[in-house]
Amino acid sequence: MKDILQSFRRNWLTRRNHWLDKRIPAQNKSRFNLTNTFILPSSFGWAMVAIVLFLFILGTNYQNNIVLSMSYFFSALLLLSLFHSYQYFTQHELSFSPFEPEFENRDITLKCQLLSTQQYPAGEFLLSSMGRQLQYSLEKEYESTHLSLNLPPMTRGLHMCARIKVECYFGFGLFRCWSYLQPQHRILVYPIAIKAPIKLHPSNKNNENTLAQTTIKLQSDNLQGIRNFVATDPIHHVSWKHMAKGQGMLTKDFSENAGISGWLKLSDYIQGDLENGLRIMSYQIQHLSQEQVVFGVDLGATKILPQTGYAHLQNCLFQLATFGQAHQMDRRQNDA
Amino acid sequence: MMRKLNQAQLKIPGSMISACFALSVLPLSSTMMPWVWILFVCALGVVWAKVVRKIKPLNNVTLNLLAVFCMLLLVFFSGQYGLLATMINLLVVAGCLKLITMRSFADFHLIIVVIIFLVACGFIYHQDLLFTVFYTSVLFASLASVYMLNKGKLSTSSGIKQSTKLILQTIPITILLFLMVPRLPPLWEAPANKSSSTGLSETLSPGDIANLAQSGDLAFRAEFTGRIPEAQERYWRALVFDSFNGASWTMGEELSNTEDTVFIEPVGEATRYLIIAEPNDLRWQYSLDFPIVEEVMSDRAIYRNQSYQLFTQTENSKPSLYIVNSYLDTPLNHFMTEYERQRNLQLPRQGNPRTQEFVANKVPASASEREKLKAILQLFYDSDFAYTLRPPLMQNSPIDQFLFDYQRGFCSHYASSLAYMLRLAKVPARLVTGYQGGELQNKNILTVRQYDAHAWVEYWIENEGWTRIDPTAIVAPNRLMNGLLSSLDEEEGDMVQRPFNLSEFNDVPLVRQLHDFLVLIDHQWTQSVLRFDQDSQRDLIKQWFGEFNAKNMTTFMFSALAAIALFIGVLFLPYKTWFQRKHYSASAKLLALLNRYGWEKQQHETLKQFIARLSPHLTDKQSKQIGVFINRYYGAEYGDRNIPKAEYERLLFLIKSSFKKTS
Repeated sequence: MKDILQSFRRNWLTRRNHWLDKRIPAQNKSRFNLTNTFILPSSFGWAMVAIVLFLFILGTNYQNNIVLSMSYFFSALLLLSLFHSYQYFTQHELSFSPFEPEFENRDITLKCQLLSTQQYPAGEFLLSSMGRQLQYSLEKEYESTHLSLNLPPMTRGLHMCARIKVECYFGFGLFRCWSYLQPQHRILVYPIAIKAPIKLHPSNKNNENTLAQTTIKLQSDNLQGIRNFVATDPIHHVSWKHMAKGQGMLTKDFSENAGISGWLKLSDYIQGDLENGLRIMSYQIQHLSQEQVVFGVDLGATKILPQTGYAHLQNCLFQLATFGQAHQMDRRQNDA
Repeated sequence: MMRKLNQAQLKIPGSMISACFALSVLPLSSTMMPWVWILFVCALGVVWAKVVRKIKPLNNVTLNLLAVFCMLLLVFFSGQYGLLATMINLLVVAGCLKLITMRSFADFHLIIVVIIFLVACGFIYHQDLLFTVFYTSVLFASLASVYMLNKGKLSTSSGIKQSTKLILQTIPITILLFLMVPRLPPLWEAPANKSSSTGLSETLSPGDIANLAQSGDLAFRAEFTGRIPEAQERYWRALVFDSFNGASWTMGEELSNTEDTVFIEPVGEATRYLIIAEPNDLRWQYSLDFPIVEEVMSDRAIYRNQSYQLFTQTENSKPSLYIVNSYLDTPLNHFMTEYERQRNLQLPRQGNPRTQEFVANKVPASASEREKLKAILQLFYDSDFAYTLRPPLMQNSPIDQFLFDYQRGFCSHYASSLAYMLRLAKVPARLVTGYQGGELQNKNILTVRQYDAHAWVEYWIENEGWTRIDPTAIVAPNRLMNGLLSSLDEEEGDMVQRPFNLSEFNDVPLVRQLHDFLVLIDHQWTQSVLRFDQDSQRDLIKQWFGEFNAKNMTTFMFSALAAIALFIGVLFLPYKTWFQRKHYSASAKLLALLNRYGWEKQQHETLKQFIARLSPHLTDKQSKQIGVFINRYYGAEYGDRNIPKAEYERLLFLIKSSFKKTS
């Protein structure tokens, strides 16, 4: 029975989403309006409708004008609430910020900005998606607010964000105004890092055999000198002694890693589970990048030439994240 | 997904709603079971504790047990309290339990629903203006508290202001609906609410009226067009009892027979007045002797029988409105058949031996009716009789016990013993109940309340007719002159539930004016709101459209709907922006155009910076066209050049076409 219900529900959701995709296409900035806003009485609203009917019957049967007036009063309240709720809701604008890339096991933060161009002061909005919910109180009219909603972790890849339900029970809570919005921004999820010995194939193809099994010892005491701190430097290379003396952030430069360069190959790890292999690669890329080693990545079809630096790290991780996904997307699409 | 209340939402709206709940329960306090009071106090205590500091919520098992226990108690006591009272208790219990558990929005909404039901129940019992104002404010306050739930970070005071605004906006629509929606007859017979039937009843035992006397409920209003008779002349006849079984008086079936009623030529001057009677579960109406009904405004005809009573064919479930001309000087002597004489001499077979003995010994059998009466009344003069609301219980031979043992009683004791003794002395006599006196509200409006209920005796004098004799007048003459309260001692006076009345302070001119004003408002309230019905609706249409027919009725309804639509339009249409003069902004046009192709200006950028950011993505032609536009625009904005709108439009068109070719 439960299974039937579940499958029924899933079926309904896919149909709904299909319909929504046509009606409310993904957009990074949406002003709520007739096309993307739904409005129906809330449970309290339905209760009120029942009360109106009940009071009407009661008032008619007892020929009691006061009870009848109560019935009329609540119908008027329902009528006006309908307009107030709708008007309140549609005087808001929601824009989504690009997603920060995240790792598989971490929550994804949805950041958005709610701008109210309303004549109504304050109110409360509810954002929910994928079982997570955020209740946010607005402060004043004509004000924008930054909201962030933590979404549950996702698997590796470049994903469309699920539809986000934006709800509001403005007024007396008699009506629920809601919309399902989808940001155009994509969510980039990197594979998590699984620790494994680093295997760096030297760039010099001739020496491939001899150095194939070289495991680089990265924790080196071979201090070359001190230079100014650059944002991409690993934090554990900062010379804290100098910092403590008030000489600013200086980085200890290690000699050994500077000379090393090579290729990481996915084919080394692909025997077992592909995902696992990608996770090991993820660890190695992060680690090498931290140590500022010049390295290239060979994923079979895709090859990234040896490089170092933050952009290189991001590029490598992006390729890992999207590895095997049917449509290889340009990175820029993510931020578009 | 269940929306939970946070601490702030629990605090102010939570305390508001519990106060509203408490206020809505209080007027129904008489129907509440004692143990519900305990629960009620506990619930308020829990809310208070929650507001003051965060306390751990009760666990579900305890709560469910409590709920089951409460239900069992309700079922257990339901027999004693009747269905309607049990339902009210159920509502209060549900509200209390929800107050204790209040965690989510749904709980909060449920309490509002309970309050609405309680208020509706209250309106069935009471409809006077003060009460309506009280309950309306309770309703408004509970709605305001729901608003406070969704108000966000708005301050409490502006939240209240906003919600008041929204609530007040509904009032015009409510009034229009009130006038417009057709009145229907009752869809089915509703169970009568027991407590509205305070009033006289069709049987009378000596103690009955004493209970009635403690109620301050309105029985009827009378609006006089001329002189108002003195208090001691205002005997409002309602029921006439002619059958006595030794303990209680009942009325014969024939009394509702009008066939034999003869026409009576009234004598003397007429006293004309309008009666607005509250509903009760009897068919009898009120009038001064001798009544001729001039006009009946309510929908049921009013008849008069041989005993000068007014009555309708069905029970007075609705208020009655009628105009009567009373001829106070007309003798009530039109009729006395032998059958009727026998009825009014009827005596119970047994009981009350001491009274029988007294009459046999003290009343001469051959004397005239007046002399017999005098001999009987001597008993009341000689002994030390007292007038009291709390007569002792007299079960066996009540008249004996009253006359010779206790000698303490209420008007019904005096009247029934006098009528009984007159019958023993072979004088036809009967018991009449109704109201006596009434309170003058202003120059011509009189209110008569349940505590004005009274019983007196009529006896037949040959060739003169029915003559009223009120034995209470001998014992407590103040009762007739100044009303019930003046004839009771202070302690008993407190038992009478008395509405607040400004007329006691009528000596102060300001108070007098205020009092008259309040009376006027109250009168208007009763006349135009409580009595508004199909006929009033019909009159309204006649007044506005000239004639009542289907076409005008439709016009009326549509115009009311149009008025509602217009009102909503005034509230919600963005007419402010329509009438705002929009001045032409070339830069806004350009931005809108670029926006269409996916470029958006950031807030911090100037127009020039924005274009500079775009330029790497643009073709040469596009940059050139935009460049021309920007130069012109800056020239106009910051220089003295004046560029007509058409020129901008031309440039914009060029930019647009340059984009089209590339895409």
